[in-house]
Amino acid sequence: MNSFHTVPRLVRAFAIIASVGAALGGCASSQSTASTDTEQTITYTATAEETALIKSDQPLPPGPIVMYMNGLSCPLCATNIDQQVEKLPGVSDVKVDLSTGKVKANLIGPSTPSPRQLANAADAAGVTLIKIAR
Amino acid sequence: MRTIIACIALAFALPCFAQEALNTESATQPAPNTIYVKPQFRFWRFGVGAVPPSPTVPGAGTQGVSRAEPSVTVQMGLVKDLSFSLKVPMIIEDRTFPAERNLSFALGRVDTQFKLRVFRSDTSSLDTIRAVVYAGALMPGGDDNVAPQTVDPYAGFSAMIIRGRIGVTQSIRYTITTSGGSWEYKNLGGDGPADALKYDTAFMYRVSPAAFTAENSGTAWYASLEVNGLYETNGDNEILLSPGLLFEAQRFAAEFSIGLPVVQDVHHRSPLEFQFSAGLRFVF
Repeated sequence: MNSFHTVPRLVRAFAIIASVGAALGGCASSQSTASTDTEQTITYTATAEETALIKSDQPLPPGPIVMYMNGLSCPLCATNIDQQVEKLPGVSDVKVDLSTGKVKANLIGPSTPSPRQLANAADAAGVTLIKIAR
Repeated sequence: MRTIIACIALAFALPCFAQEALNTESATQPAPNTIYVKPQFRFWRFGVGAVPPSPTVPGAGTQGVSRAEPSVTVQMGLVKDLSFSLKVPMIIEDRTFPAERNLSFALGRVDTQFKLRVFRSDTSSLDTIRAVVYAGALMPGGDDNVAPQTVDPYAGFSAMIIRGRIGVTQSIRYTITTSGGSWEYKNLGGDGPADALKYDTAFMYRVSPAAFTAENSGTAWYASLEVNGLYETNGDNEILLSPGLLFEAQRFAAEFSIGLPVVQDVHHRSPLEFQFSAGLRFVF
Protein backbone atom coordinates (compact mmCIF):
# COMPACT_ATOMS: atom_id res chain seq x y z
CA MET A 1 0.00 0.00 0.00
CA ASN A 2 2.96 2.34 0.53
CA SER A 3 3.43 2.81 -3.17
CA PHE A 4 -0.11 4.14 -3.44
CA HIS A 5 0.60 6.82 -0.83
CA THR A 6 3.51 8.13 -2.87
CA VAL A 7 1.34 8.70 -5.93
CA PRO A 8 0.21 12.28 -5.22
CA ARG A 9 3.82 13.37 -4.63
CA LEU A 10 4.95 11.67 -7.83
CA VAL A 11 2.11 13.24 -9.78
CA ARG A 12 2.96 16.66 -8.40
CA ALA A 13 6.64 16.19 -9.26
CA PHE A 14 5.80 15.11 -12.78
CA ALA A 15 3.40 18.02 -13.22
CA ILE A 16 6.09 20.48 -12.10
CA ILE A 17 8.64 19.01 -14.51
CA ALA A 18 6.12 19.08 -17.34
CA SER A 19 5.05 22.66 -16.67
CA VAL A 20 8.69 23.81 -16.55
CA GLY A 21 9.16 22.09 -19.88
CA ALA A 22 6.08 23.73 -21.34
CA ALA A 23 7.21 27.14 -20.09
CA LEU A 24 10.65 26.74 -21.63
CA GLY A 25 9.08 25.55 -24.84
CA GLY A 26 6.82 28.58 -24.97
CA CYS A 27 9.82 30.89 -24.66
CA ALA A 28 11.67 29.10 -27.42
CA SER A 29 8.92 29.40 -29.97
CA SER A 30 8.11 33.05 -29.48
CA GLN A 31 11.07 34.65 -31.20
CA SER A 32 13.09 34.10 -34.33
CA THR A 33 16.18 33.33 -32.25
CA ALA A 34 15.50 32.15 -28.74
CA SER A 35 17.23 30.39 -25.92
CA THR A 36 16.06 27.27 -24.10
CA ASP A 37 18.47 27.14 -21.19
CA THR A 38 21.74 27.29 -23.11
CA GLU A 39 20.17 26.12 -26.37
CA GLN A 40 19.92 28.51 -29.30
CA THR A 41 17.02 27.75 -31.59
CA ILE A 42 16.78 29.62 -34.83
CA THR A 43 13.59 30.08 -36.76
CA TYR A 44 14.45 30.38 -40.40
CA THR A 45 12.24 32.41 -42.65
CA ALA A 46 12.58 33.02 -46.36
CA THR A 47 11.96 36.02 -48.57
CA ALA A 48 9.53 35.73 -51.46
CA GLU A 49 12.47 35.37 -53.80
CA GLU A 50 13.99 32.56 -51.72
CA THR A 51 10.63 30.79 -51.50
CA ALA A 52 10.27 30.99 -55.26
CA LEU A 53 13.75 29.51 -55.66
CA ILE A 54 12.79 26.49 -53.52
CA LYS A 55 10.00 25.70 -56.01
CA SER A 56 12.26 25.91 -59.03
CA ASP A 57 12.81 22.86 -61.24
CA GLN A 58 15.98 24.36 -62.69
CA PRO A 59 19.05 22.24 -61.76
CA LEU A 60 21.40 24.09 -59.44
CA PRO A 61 24.90 24.82 -60.75
CA PRO A 62 27.72 22.65 -59.34
CA GLY A 63 29.46 23.83 -56.19
CA PRO A 64 28.85 23.96 -52.44
CA ILE A 65 25.41 24.86 -51.11
CA VAL A 66 23.94 25.48 -47.66
CA MET A 67 20.37 24.39 -46.96
CA TYR A 68 18.57 26.02 -44.03
CA MET A 69 16.23 23.53 -42.34
CA ASN A 70 13.59 23.70 -39.64
CA GLY A 71 12.72 20.61 -37.58
CA LEU A 72 16.15 18.99 -37.20
CA SER A 73 15.55 17.86 -33.65
CA CYS A 74 17.95 15.01 -33.01
CA PRO A 75 20.95 13.05 -34.32
CA LEU A 76 18.67 10.39 -35.85
CA CYS A 77 16.77 13.14 -37.68
CA ALA A 78 20.11 14.22 -39.12
CA THR A 79 20.61 10.71 -40.48
CA ASN A 80 17.21 10.80 -42.13
CA ILE A 81 18.01 14.04 -43.96
CA ASP A 82 21.53 13.15 -45.05
CA GLN A 83 20.35 9.79 -46.40
CA GLN A 84 17.53 11.39 -48.39
CA VAL A 85 19.64 14.19 -49.83
CA GLU A 86 22.59 11.95 -50.69
CA LYS A 87 20.29 9.75 -52.78
CA LEU A 88 19.82 12.59 -55.23
CA PRO A 89 22.12 12.58 -58.28
CA GLY A 90 25.08 14.93 -58.10
CA VAL A 91 25.00 15.39 -54.32
CA SER A 92 27.99 14.55 -52.14
CA ASP A 93 29.64 15.48 -48.85
CA VAL A 94 26.40 16.11 -46.96
CA LYS A 95 27.07 17.51 -43.49
CA VAL A 96 24.34 18.26 -40.96
CA ASP A 97 24.83 20.82 -38.19
CA LEU A 98 22.07 20.48 -35.60
CA SER A 99 23.25 23.61 -33.78
CA THR A 100 22.25 25.83 -36.68
CA GLY A 101 19.89 23.67 -38.73
CA LYS A 102 22.23 24.03 -41.68
CA VAL A 103 22.85 21.15 -44.07
CA LYS A 104 25.89 21.63 -46.27
CA ALA A 105 26.40 19.68 -49.48
CA ASN A 106 28.52 19.73 -52.57
CA LEU A 107 26.89 19.51 -55.99
CA ILE A 108 29.04 17.83 -58.60
CA GLY A 109 28.90 16.42 -62.11
CA PRO A 110 26.77 17.18 -65.10
CA SER A 111 23.52 16.19 -63.37
CA THR A 112 22.63 18.21 -60.28
CA PRO A 113 19.32 18.35 -58.38
CA SER A 114 16.84 21.20 -58.60
CA PRO A 115 15.78 23.12 -55.47
CA ARG A 116 12.39 21.42 -55.66
CA GLN A 117 14.08 17.98 -55.55
CA LEU A 118 16.07 19.05 -52.50
CA ALA A 119 12.90 20.38 -50.84
CA ASN A 120 11.07 17.14 -51.59
CA ALA A 121 13.95 15.09 -50.15
CA ALA A 122 13.84 17.18 -46.98
CA ASP A 123 10.08 16.80 -46.78
CA ALA A 124 10.38 13.02 -47.17
CA ALA A 125 12.91 12.99 -44.33
CA GLY A 126 10.43 14.80 -42.11
CA VAL A 127 12.05 18.25 -42.00
CA THR A 128 11.37 21.53 -43.81
CA LEU A 129 13.76 23.19 -46.24
CA ILE A 130 13.38 26.95 -45.88
CA LYS A 131 16.04 28.32 -48.21
CA ILE A 132 19.18 27.49 -50.13
CA ALA A 133 22.29 29.64 -50.18
CA ARG A 134 25.73 29.43 -51.72
CA MET B 1 -10.14 7.08 -7.34
CA ARG B 2 -9.24 10.78 -7.28
CA THR B 3 -5.62 9.78 -7.82
CA ILE B 4 -6.52 7.74 -10.86
CA ILE B 5 -8.56 10.57 -12.32
CA ALA B 6 -5.71 13.00 -11.60
CA CYS B 7 -3.20 10.76 -13.36
CA ILE B 8 -5.44 10.29 -16.38
CA ALA B 9 -6.22 14.00 -16.53
CA LEU B 10 -2.52 14.80 -16.28
CA ALA B 11 -1.69 12.38 -19.05
CA PHE B 12 -4.22 13.94 -21.39
CA ALA B 13 -3.73 17.56 -20.36
CA LEU B 14 -0.01 17.71 -21.05
CA PRO B 15 1.22 19.52 -24.09
CA CYS B 16 2.92 17.15 -26.47
CA PHE B 17 6.62 17.34 -27.26
CA ALA B 18 9.40 14.60 -27.39
CA GLN B 19 11.98 12.26 -28.76
CA GLU B 20 11.21 8.56 -29.12
CA ALA B 21 10.66 6.92 -25.73
CA LEU B 22 10.88 3.20 -25.04
CA ASN B 23 7.31 2.43 -23.93
CA THR B 24 5.35 5.20 -25.64
CA GLU B 25 4.37 5.03 -29.30
CA SER B 26 6.10 8.01 -30.86
CA ALA B 27 5.12 10.32 -33.70
CA THR B 28 8.38 9.58 -35.48
CA GLN B 29 9.08 7.30 -38.39
CA PRO B 30 11.79 6.54 -40.93
CA ALA B 31 11.97 8.34 -44.24
CA PRO B 32 11.05 6.40 -47.41
CA ASN B 33 13.45 3.52 -48.11
CA THR B 34 15.05 3.96 -44.69
CA ILE B 35 14.84 1.09 -42.21
CA TYR B 36 14.99 1.12 -38.42
CA VAL B 37 15.86 -2.17 -36.73
CA LYS B 38 15.06 -2.31 -33.01
CA PRO B 39 16.19 -5.31 -30.95
CA GLN B 40 14.61 -5.00 -27.52
CA PHE B 41 14.39 -6.93 -24.28
CA ARG B 42 11.55 -6.60 -21.79
CA PHE B 43 11.01 -8.27 -18.46
CA TRP B 44 7.90 -8.22 -16.29
CA ARG B 45 7.36 -9.60 -12.80
CA PHE B 46 3.76 -10.09 -11.74
CA GLY B 47 2.64 -10.77 -8.19
CA VAL B 48 -0.10 -12.87 -6.62
CA GLY B 49 -3.22 -12.65 -8.73
CA ALA B 50 -6.62 -11.42 -7.68
CA VAL B 51 -8.26 -14.43 -9.30
CA PRO B 52 -8.82 -17.13 -6.64
CA PRO B 53 -7.14 -20.51 -7.17
CA SER B 54 -9.31 -23.05 -8.97
CA PRO B 55 -8.52 -26.75 -9.46
CA THR B 56 -10.90 -26.94 -12.44
CA VAL B 57 -10.05 -23.83 -14.46
CA PRO B 58 -6.58 -23.97 -16.05
CA GLY B 59 -4.56 -20.90 -15.20
CA ALA B 60 -6.94 -19.53 -12.61
CA GLY B 61 -5.22 -18.47 -9.44
CA THR B 62 -1.81 -17.84 -10.86
CA GLN B 63 0.54 -17.21 -7.96
CA GLY B 64 3.23 -15.31 -9.76
CA VAL B 65 4.59 -14.84 -13.26
CA SER B 66 8.01 -13.84 -14.58
CA ARG B 67 7.97 -13.03 -18.27
CA ALA B 68 10.89 -12.14 -20.53
CA GLU B 69 10.39 -10.95 -24.08
CA PRO B 70 13.30 -10.51 -26.46
CA SER B 71 12.05 -9.04 -29.71
CA VAL B 72 13.11 -7.49 -32.99
CA THR B 73 11.12 -4.73 -34.67
CA VAL B 74 11.76 -3.70 -38.25
CA GLN B 75 10.22 -0.39 -39.27
CA MET B 76 10.51 0.87 -42.83
CA GLY B 77 9.46 4.06 -44.53
CA LEU B 78 7.20 3.16 -47.44
CA VAL B 79 6.38 6.55 -48.93
CA LYS B 80 6.41 10.06 -47.54
CA ASP B 81 4.60 10.12 -44.16
CA LEU B 82 3.78 6.39 -44.19
CA SER B 83 5.73 3.59 -42.54
CA PHE B 84 5.20 -0.07 -41.77
CA SER B 85 6.60 -2.02 -38.85
CA LEU B 86 6.79 -5.67 -37.93
CA LYS B 87 7.64 -6.80 -34.40
CA VAL B 88 8.57 -10.42 -33.75
CA PRO B 89 8.80 -11.31 -30.04
CA MET B 90 9.79 -14.48 -28.26
CA ILE B 91 8.30 -15.24 -24.86
CA ILE B 92 10.00 -17.00 -21.98
CA GLU B 93 7.56 -17.33 -19.13
CA ASP B 94 7.66 -18.87 -15.69
CA ARG B 95 4.11 -19.15 -14.37
CA THR B 96 3.30 -20.72 -11.02
CA PHE B 97 -0.15 -22.21 -10.52
CA PRO B 98 -1.51 -23.45 -7.20
CA ALA B 99 -0.58 -27.04 -8.01
CA GLU B 100 2.18 -26.76 -10.58
CA ARG B 101 4.82 -24.59 -12.17
CA ASN B 102 4.86 -24.02 -15.92
CA LEU B 103 7.91 -22.86 -17.84
CA SER B 104 7.10 -21.88 -21.43
CA PHE B 105 9.14 -20.75 -24.39
CA ALA B 106 7.31 -19.76 -27.56
CA LEU B 107 6.81 -17.23 -30.29
CA GLY B 108 4.90 -14.27 -28.93
CA ARG B 109 2.32 -12.19 -30.75
CA VAL B 110 3.71 -10.74 -33.98
CA ASP B 111 2.70 -7.07 -34.18
CA THR B 112 2.09 -5.51 -37.60
CA GLN B 113 1.52 -1.78 -37.79
CA PHE B 114 1.04 1.03 -40.29
CA LYS B 115 1.80 4.57 -39.16
CA LEU B 116 0.66 7.66 -41.04
CA ARG B 117 1.88 11.16 -40.25
CA VAL B 118 -1.09 13.51 -40.31
CA PHE B 119 0.50 16.71 -39.07
CA ARG B 120 3.93 18.30 -39.05
CA SER B 121 4.97 21.84 -38.22
CA ASP B 122 8.68 22.57 -38.00
CA THR B 123 8.73 25.78 -36.05
CA SER B 124 12.49 26.36 -35.82
CA SER B 125 15.79 24.72 -36.59
CA LEU B 126 15.31 22.30 -33.66
CA ASP B 127 11.66 22.55 -32.75
CA THR B 128 8.85 20.56 -34.23
CA ILE B 129 5.28 19.46 -33.65
CA ARG B 130 4.04 16.29 -35.30
CA ALA B 131 1.22 13.82 -35.03
CA VAL B 132 0.51 10.36 -36.41
CA VAL B 133 -2.33 7.90 -36.50
CA TYR B 134 -1.46 4.24 -36.45
CA ALA B 135 -3.28 0.96 -36.82
CA GLY B 136 -2.28 -2.65 -36.75
CA ALA B 137 -2.99 -6.08 -35.40
CA LEU B 138 -1.55 -8.53 -32.91
CA MET B 139 -1.23 -11.94 -34.52
CA PRO B 140 -1.77 -15.32 -32.81
CA GLY B 141 1.11 -16.44 -30.62
CA GLY B 142 3.02 -19.67 -31.04
CA ASP B 143 1.66 -21.30 -27.90
CA ASP B 144 -1.67 -20.83 -26.14
CA ASN B 145 0.16 -21.00 -22.81
CA VAL B 146 1.91 -17.67 -23.40
CA ALA B 147 -0.13 -15.80 -26.00
CA PRO B 148 -3.73 -15.78 -27.27
CA GLN B 149 -4.47 -17.55 -30.54
CA THR B 150 -6.50 -14.69 -31.99
CA VAL B 151 -5.99 -11.67 -34.23
CA ASP B 152 -6.59 -8.51 -32.23
CA PRO B 153 -6.77 -5.22 -34.17
CA TYR B 154 -5.84 -1.89 -32.67
CA ALA B 155 -5.71 1.79 -33.60
CA GLY B 156 -4.09 4.78 -31.97
CA PHE B 157 -2.95 8.37 -32.12
CA SER B 158 0.33 9.92 -31.07
CA ALA B 159 1.47 13.53 -30.94
CA MET B 160 4.78 15.06 -29.96
CA ILE B 161 6.31 18.46 -29.46
CA ILE B 162 10.03 19.12 -29.27
CA ARG B 163 11.20 22.44 -27.87
CA GLY B 164 14.97 22.66 -27.67
CA ARG B 165 16.11 20.20 -25.01
CA ILE B 166 12.63 19.12 -24.02
CA GLY B 167 10.14 16.84 -25.67
CA VAL B 168 6.80 15.34 -24.76
CA THR B 169 4.87 12.61 -26.52
CA GLN B 170 1.28 11.62 -25.84
CA SER B 171 -0.13 8.39 -27.23
CA ILE B 172 -3.40 6.54 -26.87
CA ARG B 173 -4.18 3.15 -28.37
CA TYR B 174 -7.33 1.03 -28.28
CA THR B 175 -7.10 -2.72 -28.82
CA ILE B 176 -10.12 -4.89 -29.54
CA THR B 177 -9.36 -8.17 -27.83
CA THR B 178 -11.05 -11.31 -29.04
CA SER B 179 -9.26 -13.97 -27.05
CA GLY B 180 -11.90 -14.73 -24.40
CA GLY B 181 -12.12 -18.25 -23.01
CA SER B 182 -9.21 -19.42 -20.96
CA TRP B 183 -7.44 -16.09 -21.41
CA GLU B 184 -9.76 -14.59 -18.87
CA TYR B 185 -7.47 -16.33 -16.36
CA LYS B 186 -4.13 -16.06 -18.14
CA ASN B 187 -4.40 -12.36 -18.96
CA LEU B 188 -1.45 -10.28 -17.80
CA GLY B 189 -2.79 -7.01 -19.17
CA GLY B 190 -4.42 -6.42 -22.54
CA ASP B 191 -4.69 -10.09 -23.49
CA GLY B 192 -7.96 -11.06 -21.83
CA PRO B 193 -11.52 -10.86 -23.12
CA ALA B 194 -11.78 -7.18 -22.16
CA ASP B 195 -10.69 -4.51 -24.66
CA ALA B 196 -7.64 -2.49 -23.70
CA LEU B 197 -6.95 1.23 -23.76
CA LYS B 198 -3.25 2.04 -23.48
CA TYR B 199 -2.46 5.66 -22.66
CA ASP B 200 1.12 6.84 -22.40
CA THR B 201 2.90 10.11 -21.84
CA ALA B 202 6.65 10.45 -22.32
CA PHE B 203 8.69 13.39 -21.11
CA MET B 204 12.28 13.61 -22.36
CA TYR B 205 15.04 15.99 -21.45
CA ARG B 206 18.32 16.26 -23.33
CA VAL B 207 20.91 16.00 -20.59
CA SER B 208 23.92 16.34 -22.87
CA PRO B 209 24.88 18.27 -24.84
CA ALA B 210 23.20 21.27 -23.24
CA ALA B 211 23.40 22.93 -26.63
CA PHE B 212 24.24 21.36 -29.96
CA THR B 213 27.30 22.81 -31.64
CA ALA B 214 28.94 22.00 -34.95
CA GLU B 215 31.35 19.72 -33.06
CA ASN B 216 28.96 17.84 -30.77
CA SER B 217 25.76 17.41 -32.77
CA GLY B 218 26.45 13.75 -33.50
CA THR B 219 25.31 12.28 -30.17
CA ALA B 220 22.93 13.10 -27.33
CA TRP B 221 21.92 11.76 -23.91
CA TYR B 222 18.33 12.03 -22.78
CA ALA B 223 16.66 11.34 -19.45
CA SER B 224 13.13 10.09 -19.86
CA LEU B 225 10.12 9.83 -17.60
CA GLU B 226 7.06 8.00 -18.87
CA VAL B 227 3.59 7.56 -17.45
CA ASN B 228 2.33 4.29 -18.93
CA GLY B 229 -1.33 3.49 -18.36
CA LEU B 230 -3.41 0.47 -19.24
CA TYR B 231 -7.17 0.45 -18.76
CA GLU B 232 -9.26 -2.62 -19.58
CA THR B 233 -12.98 -2.52 -20.15
CA ASN B 234 -13.47 -4.93 -17.25
CA GLY B 235 -12.53 -1.99 -15.01
CA ASP B 236 -8.90 -2.85 -14.34
CA ASN B 237 -6.55 0.10 -14.47
CA GLU B 238 -2.81 0.24 -13.94
CA ILE B 239 -0.39 3.16 -14.25
CA LEU B 240 3.38 2.83 -14.25
CA LEU B 241 5.96 5.51 -13.75
CA SER B 242 8.93 4.63 -15.94
CA PRO B 243 12.19 6.57 -15.63
CA GLY B 244 14.85 5.78 -18.19
CA LEU B 245 17.86 6.84 -20.17
CA LEU B 246 18.42 7.16 -23.93
CA PHE B 247 21.67 7.58 -25.83
CA GLU B 248 21.25 8.63 -29.42
CA ALA B 249 23.86 8.78 -32.17
CA GLN B 250 23.41 9.31 -35.88
CA ARG B 251 23.16 5.62 -36.80
CA PHE B 252 22.02 4.01 -33.57
CA ALA B 253 20.43 4.57 -30.20
CA ALA B 254 20.51 2.64 -26.90
CA GLU B 255 17.90 2.95 -24.19
CA PHE B 256 16.53 1.41 -21.02
CA SER B 257 13.78 2.10 -18.53
CA ILE B 258 12.29 0.63 -15.37
CA GLY B 259 8.53 0.70 -14.84
CA LEU B 260 7.09 0.82 -11.34
CA PRO B 261 3.36 0.74 -10.60
CA VAL B 262 2.00 3.88 -8.97
CA VAL B 263 -1.69 3.09 -9.48
CA GLN B 264 -3.07 -0.44 -9.39
CA ASP B 265 -6.78 -0.97 -9.54
CA VAL B 266 -6.60 -4.56 -10.77
CA HIS B 267 -9.23 -7.18 -9.95
CA HIS B 268 -9.11 -9.60 -12.90
CA ARG B 269 -5.42 -10.43 -13.22
CA SER B 270 -2.09 -10.51 -11.44
CA PRO B 271 -0.76 -7.06 -10.56
CA LEU B 272 2.56 -6.01 -12.03
CA GLU B 273 5.42 -5.65 -9.56
CA PHE B 274 7.92 -4.07 -11.94
CA GLN B 275 8.94 -3.90 -15.58
CA PHE B 276 12.37 -3.55 -17.14
CA SER B 277 12.94 -2.60 -20.77
CA ALA B 278 16.12 -2.14 -22.78
CA GLY B 279 16.66 -1.70 -26.45
CA LEU B 280 18.82 -0.67 -29.36
CA ARG B 281 17.85 1.12 -32.55
CA PHE B 282 19.82 1.01 -35.77
CA VAL B 283 19.23 3.07 -38.89
CA PHE B 284 19.93 1.61 -42.33
